[in-house]
Amino acid sequence: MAQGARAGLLVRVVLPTVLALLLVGVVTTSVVLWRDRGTQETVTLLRPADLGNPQSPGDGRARGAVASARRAATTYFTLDHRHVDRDMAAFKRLTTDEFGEAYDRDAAALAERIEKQQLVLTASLPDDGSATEYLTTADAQVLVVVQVTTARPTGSTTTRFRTRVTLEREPSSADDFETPWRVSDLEEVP
Amino acid sequence: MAVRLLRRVPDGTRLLVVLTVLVLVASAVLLALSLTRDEDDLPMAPRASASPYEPAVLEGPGGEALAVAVVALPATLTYDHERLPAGLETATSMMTASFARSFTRTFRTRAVPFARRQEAVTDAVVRGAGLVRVEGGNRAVTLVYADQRMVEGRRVPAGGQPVVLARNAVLVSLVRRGGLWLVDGITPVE
Repeated sequence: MAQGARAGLLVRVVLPTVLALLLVGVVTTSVVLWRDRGTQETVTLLRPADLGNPQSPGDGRARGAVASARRAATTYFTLDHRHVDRDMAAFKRLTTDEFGEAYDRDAAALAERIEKQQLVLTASLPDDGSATEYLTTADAQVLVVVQVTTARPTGSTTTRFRTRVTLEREPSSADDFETPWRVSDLEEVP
Repeated sequence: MAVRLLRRVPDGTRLLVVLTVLVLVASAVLLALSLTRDEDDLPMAPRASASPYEPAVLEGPGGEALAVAVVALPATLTYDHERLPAGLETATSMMTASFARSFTRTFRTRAVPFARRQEAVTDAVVRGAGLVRVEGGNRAVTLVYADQRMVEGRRVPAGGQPVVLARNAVLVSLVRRGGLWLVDGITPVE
């Protein structure tokens, strides 16, 4: 008798409850996957821009990656002891939050050295000194050669730097060409 | 048919059957959504520290040209003072006839005397490579960062580390002939 009651409880209450909970879980996960499918932008490879080719310069996002990298490399190496804080702030405006914080960690010591030695660093980019190393709709790596002239009270020197600028952006279905690239790393290739 | 079958099921287990069917249907939908989910199956960005360096897969014809440049440029910087003709042959095998002639002259006037004087064995390590532009589908300009190292020679102590002779940033121009990309020029970025 007691065994029959237990079996009845199992069939009428326990199993339906377990199945109902399972159903809720499966349906909820399906809904999440469905909605995710509707909103997520697929990241795809982009053809690099053809730099210096006015007839066919390439996709605006591809050109934007190179233009952003060139601006970042120039800004990074352009520092004047008379307004070094302003120069550094200009570079930080081009970066992701995370890379901006990393830049800040060394910025104070660098600013102090530039002010103390009264340095004026001026960056220039040689012709054809930029190239796309990797490019998708969300990530880019751009090589930028930079000539940096360092003027001191005693004279000036020019040094060539090989740099790699890493950029990222959020692809958007609304107006993808307007989404800006942000610098997530700038590495001097030794 | 299904409703008629369901009516034959005892009242106590009817809910159980309905829930089981719903769970099975929902699981099938979830499985279908999971299997058809867009995955970002993209090639990785090149890593500067990778040895040997592997260029990124780039969209468009420039990707093939870049892959050739990354192999061909190190060949021009790699030689052994005891086997100079073999080094020259390897390098020029990836060049157009006209550039091979020009390169051979430079190799004989500059690299050969240096290699013999220094008893040098050199190699080259690529640190970065990108596409500057493609012109008309059959001409490409690439930018390659490559270090030339002396791995054996008068400047290298026995068992010592290689000595870096030059940290190059060069434009490698290529043309496509008969389906093959060939080096048609190498110029330093200055």
